[in-house]
Amino acid sequence: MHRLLILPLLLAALSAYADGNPSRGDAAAIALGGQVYQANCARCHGEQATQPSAEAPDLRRLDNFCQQLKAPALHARCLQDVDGYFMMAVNSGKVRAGIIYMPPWRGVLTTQEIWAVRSFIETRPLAAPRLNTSVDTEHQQHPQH
Amino acid sequence: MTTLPHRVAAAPNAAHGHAHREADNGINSCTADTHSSAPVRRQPVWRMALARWPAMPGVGVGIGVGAGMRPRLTAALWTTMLATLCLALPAAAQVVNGEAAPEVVVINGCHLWPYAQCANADLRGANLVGKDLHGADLRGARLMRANLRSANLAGALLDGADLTGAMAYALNAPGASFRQAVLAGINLETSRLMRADMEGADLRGASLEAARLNLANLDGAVLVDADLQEAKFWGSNLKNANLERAILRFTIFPDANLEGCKGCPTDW
Repeated sequence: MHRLLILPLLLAALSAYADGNPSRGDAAAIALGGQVYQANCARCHGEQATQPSAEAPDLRRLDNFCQQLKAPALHARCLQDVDGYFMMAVNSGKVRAGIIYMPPWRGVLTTQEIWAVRSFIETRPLAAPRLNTSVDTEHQQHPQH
Repeated sequence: MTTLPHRVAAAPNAAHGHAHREADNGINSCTADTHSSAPVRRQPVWRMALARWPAMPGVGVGIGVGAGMRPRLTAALWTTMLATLCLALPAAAQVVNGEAAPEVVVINGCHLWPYAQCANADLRGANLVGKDLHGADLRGARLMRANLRSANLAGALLDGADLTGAMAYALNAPGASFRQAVLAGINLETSRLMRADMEGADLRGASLEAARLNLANLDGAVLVDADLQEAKFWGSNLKNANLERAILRFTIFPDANLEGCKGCPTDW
């Protein structure tokens, strides 16, 4: 009897991950995500998720492939996979060959907070393509004769 | 294999095949008459045009041909230029069409795109040539005899996956995790496996010729009978690995951990 009750609960818990981010586009979640991001993620991933550094990847790029998809169903399916990756990566951290590139956040951030951070990142404006290199800027400032 | 709507190809093979057909058609349209079986050999359009081209002063000077000259060199140059144009046009059309969405291939429910969630997927013999699967979750996936040539698996998870006999020439998989994966007989020649975690992986009989395994973790990995010639193990962890009978011609192990390694050289 108990097994019959546990199974639907387990399936419901799994489907919560499988369905992707439930707070996508939610204003309250985005606000919460901004706060959580600034407190925990900004140090490595950049202030407001708009100032990327060499320390960690620019999280706005996670959806690069999905954004190219025109079919709504396919786009949604793609975002679902990225959501799954995001949740797993945050919870488990980035550990390769014993080296911790990002610590696991399981037990530190709640599932709701992680989804909120994901929602917040999705609202961040993408960086404009750079048209000039630092060398170009240098040449403009100090033209050579 | 599922076919998806809206510019989504059924398979990379199909897409490639189509592209090749386009390219072939292009070439044929340019040189359609060159292979004619008619009794009187017909000249291709470009050659007829060239033949009718009068000895115009100045023409061809730019390519090193003087006035009034129609040497074989000129014909060869024209042929090369036309062939280049014919080959380049279909490709250029794909590039110019900025509205085109990327092709998506779905195999056994697995959408082959970056960050794909395909744990335990059945991808046996799948054509994954050049696929961008960075960050994908392929733990426990069945990839026996799959073709992963030049694919991107950077940061992907393949723990416990079975890649027996797979073709993965020039695979890009830095930071990927292959813990306890079966990679027997895989072709990983010239692959980029820097910082990959291959702890306990079975790589017996694999070809890792000229592969880059800098800072990779091969703790307890089995590399028996593997071809490791010219492979780079800069700072790699080969603790308790087994390299018996492996080919170690020009293989380098600077700063590698060779503690308890069977078959590893002792002069590094």
